[in-house]
Amino acid sequence: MIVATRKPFEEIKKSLAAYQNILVVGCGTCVAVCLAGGKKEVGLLTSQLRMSFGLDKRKVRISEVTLERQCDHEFLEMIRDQVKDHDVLLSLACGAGVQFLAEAYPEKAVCPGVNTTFIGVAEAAGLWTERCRACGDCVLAVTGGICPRTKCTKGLNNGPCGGMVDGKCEVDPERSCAWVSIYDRLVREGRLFQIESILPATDFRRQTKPGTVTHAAYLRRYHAGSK
Amino acid sequence: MPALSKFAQILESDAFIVTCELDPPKGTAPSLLDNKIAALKDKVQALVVSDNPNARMQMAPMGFCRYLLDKGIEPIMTITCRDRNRLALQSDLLAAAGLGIQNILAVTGDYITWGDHPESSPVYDLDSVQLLWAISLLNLNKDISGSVLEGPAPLFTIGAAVTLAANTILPQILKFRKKEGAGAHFFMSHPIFDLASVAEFFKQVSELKAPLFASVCILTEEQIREYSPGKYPGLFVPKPVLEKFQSLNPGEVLPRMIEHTAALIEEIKKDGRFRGVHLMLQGEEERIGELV
Repeated sequence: MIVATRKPFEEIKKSLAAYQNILVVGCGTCVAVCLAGGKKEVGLLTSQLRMSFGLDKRKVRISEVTLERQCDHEFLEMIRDQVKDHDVLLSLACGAGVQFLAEAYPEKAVCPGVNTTFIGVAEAAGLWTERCRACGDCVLAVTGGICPRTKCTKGLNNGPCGGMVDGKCEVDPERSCAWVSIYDRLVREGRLFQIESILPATDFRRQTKPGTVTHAAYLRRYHAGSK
Repeated sequence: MPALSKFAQILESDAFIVTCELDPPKGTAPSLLDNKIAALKDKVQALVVSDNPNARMQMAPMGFCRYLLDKGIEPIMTITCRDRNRLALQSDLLAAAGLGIQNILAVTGDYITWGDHPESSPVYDLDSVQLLWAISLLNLNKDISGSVLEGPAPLFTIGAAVTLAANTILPQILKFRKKEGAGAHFFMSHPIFDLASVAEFFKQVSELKAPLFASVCILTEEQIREYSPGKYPGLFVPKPVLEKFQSLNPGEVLPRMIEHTAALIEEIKKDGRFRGVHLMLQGEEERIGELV
């Protein structure tokens, strides 16, 4: 899932300084799971904003709504009437959701309430860690299910750097070196030979921004290339 | 056609070789280092010029290497994967060859957050193995896209880094073997502080395809005081060595460090597994006479 963290309150409040009618829009999917922008967080932020504007003696009307997703047209359409009464939409979705909301309502100002951080997993309660850089060229079959492009800070393709100490990363001594993990895993699986030859340089064309994916069944409809 | 570099010719001899690391200035005047250069000149066969060491922005090694060549000193130009993509790496290498710089030490590079521009974007478009492969291709007059270079091919002598003393040595050896395969002509180790700590490496690696230099390092008082594994990139100090120096009064550290390193250099010379020693003197370059 996409993992996000809520922006500092003061930054959010500053971005709303020019507006009197605010709609806080949550997203019920990834950002809800990582406790950054779901219904509960929308409620908390809305209350906090009301109190803060109240203390400032500013007359601001704040409403709230949480969509199932902000990255699909059908859900964004559900708030069309509600949006009319507001002059700014504070989206707690990931960056994709914020932009899709802004595209759906081009006449409204849109501000983000979270910082989108990475594609990751819920490693434990309240702990999310990165697993994927969306490089478009997955090497996990070769590297024992551990991504060197994500879990190695330097994204190296051919083994650990010289900064590894005691199996730990040069950049964060608390974290295992990705290449030590890959090595150990492949030894256990009897597949070390997979990383004994030189892995070629990454083809960054697959990461050309912005990416587009067209399902094979829809190629004719969109006349678009496939990522 | 260019001739092999002086350093390459020495590598082909049986001589025990001494090289020393020298950081370019953080400024525009290479002459700032003239005193150090003068002290090192007759003591070493080549100077290894670092490339933004510890991710600290300094004069590009290419310019400083050319300055050394003008002074009659053989340079080895370090090039890291951290700051340049594959276009910049290759074009800088062509420029270096054009300026007469033929010895290259190709390394990954300390991570960007160690340095004085921690907010900058790290590159690592190629890793060090791929960079070695790219330099080997340049020697064949091709770039890594397969295009043929115009004019004579460069004649780089290609160096790589190797970790001899890591606790988790097998993954490092895997990478070392890949570097051999990518065409490294010589290897320079990360600093070692005793020969006991390289035993595990040599238990696994009985045959070396390319000459190996053992690096020795004069640790600063601060490094000894503050050291913990991972505190300084690429620095792994065995506990007995660390304890020996931590028990000293501050003023005693440098002379004892020099004494320790001089004795280690003698051991390395006699050991037979190393073609030379690479000195990392960290500001004490003018005391090289006490070491070699």
